[in-house]
Amino acid sequence: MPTTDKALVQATLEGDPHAFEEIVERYQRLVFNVIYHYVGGRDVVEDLAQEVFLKVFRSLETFDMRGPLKAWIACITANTCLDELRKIRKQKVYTFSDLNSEDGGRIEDFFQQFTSKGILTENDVSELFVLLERLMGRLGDKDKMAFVLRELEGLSYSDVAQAMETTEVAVRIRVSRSKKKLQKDLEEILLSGKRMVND
Amino acid sequence: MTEEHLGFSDLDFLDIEPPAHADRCQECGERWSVFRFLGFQVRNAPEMDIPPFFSKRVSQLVRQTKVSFAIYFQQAVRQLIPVFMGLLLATGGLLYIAVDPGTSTEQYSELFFDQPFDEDLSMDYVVDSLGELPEEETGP
Repeated sequence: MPTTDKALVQATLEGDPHAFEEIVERYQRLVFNVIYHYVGGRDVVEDLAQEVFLKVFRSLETFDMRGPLKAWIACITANTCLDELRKIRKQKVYTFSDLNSEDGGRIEDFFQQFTSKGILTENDVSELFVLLERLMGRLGDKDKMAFVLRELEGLSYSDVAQAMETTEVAVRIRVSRSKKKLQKDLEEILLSGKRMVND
Repeated sequence: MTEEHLGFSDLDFLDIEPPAHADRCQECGERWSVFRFLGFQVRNAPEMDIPPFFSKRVSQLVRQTKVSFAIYFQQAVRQLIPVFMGLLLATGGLLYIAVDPGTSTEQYSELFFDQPFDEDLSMDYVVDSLGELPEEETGP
């Protein structure tokens, strides 16, 4: 079995059925998590991940062997996610609504717990992430994609730039803008009330 | 002189040490705690569980797609064979007409004249022809 990504691609193109299975094995975690963190909703993730890998297989001949396979697969995943979001919005079932006061209160509880203990339980983290998803839903589509790929999946700026077919500078701007907006939204939820009480 | 407040969008979520300014400035101290909270969520975002045998299933699906593509290709070729044959015959016929020597001007001229029509008129031929003309009558 070939070990490098390029050898696996070559072997797949030559008809080795196990080579593609190995490619899927290597990158399924990245694909699943990008879809989960970007689109949300565990029920759609598997179908979309399958769609991504079918696209990868069908367009493998167009893969430029000089670039990293990881960024190329991330690019196909990103485009599939963006298409899916557009589809969902067209069907008007997009549910990343703004946070209501109850959600805000819940975030405040988690924040208090975090600042006093410095850690949260696994369940709390999962619940908190649902709220974070809603906050991320307020970001622009591409800003959110840059943020997910860079901050949640840990891709390098260069890989994110290739995945989003843009420049590193543009990615840095998008990530920075996303952080700023998320920070501002969280501050509004957590600090504005507190300051008003103090004033 | 007052110090500038921190620009949180430029900080890395992996930074866990508070910047010195955050200790002195209450506003930045509060904002730093929010930033750390956000960073904690990002770093600990839950991951999706991969369903068992996912790679095997996708690989099988791809093989089926490959097989069905091969069948589709064979069917398409079968349907296109008469079209290709027609095109081949038409191209052959056109080529035959284009290179057939019987269609040249000289060959057509033979149908109407005994000798092939000679398009070359040399200077000698013209002078000789003029010599053969009857002399013009001169006036009184």
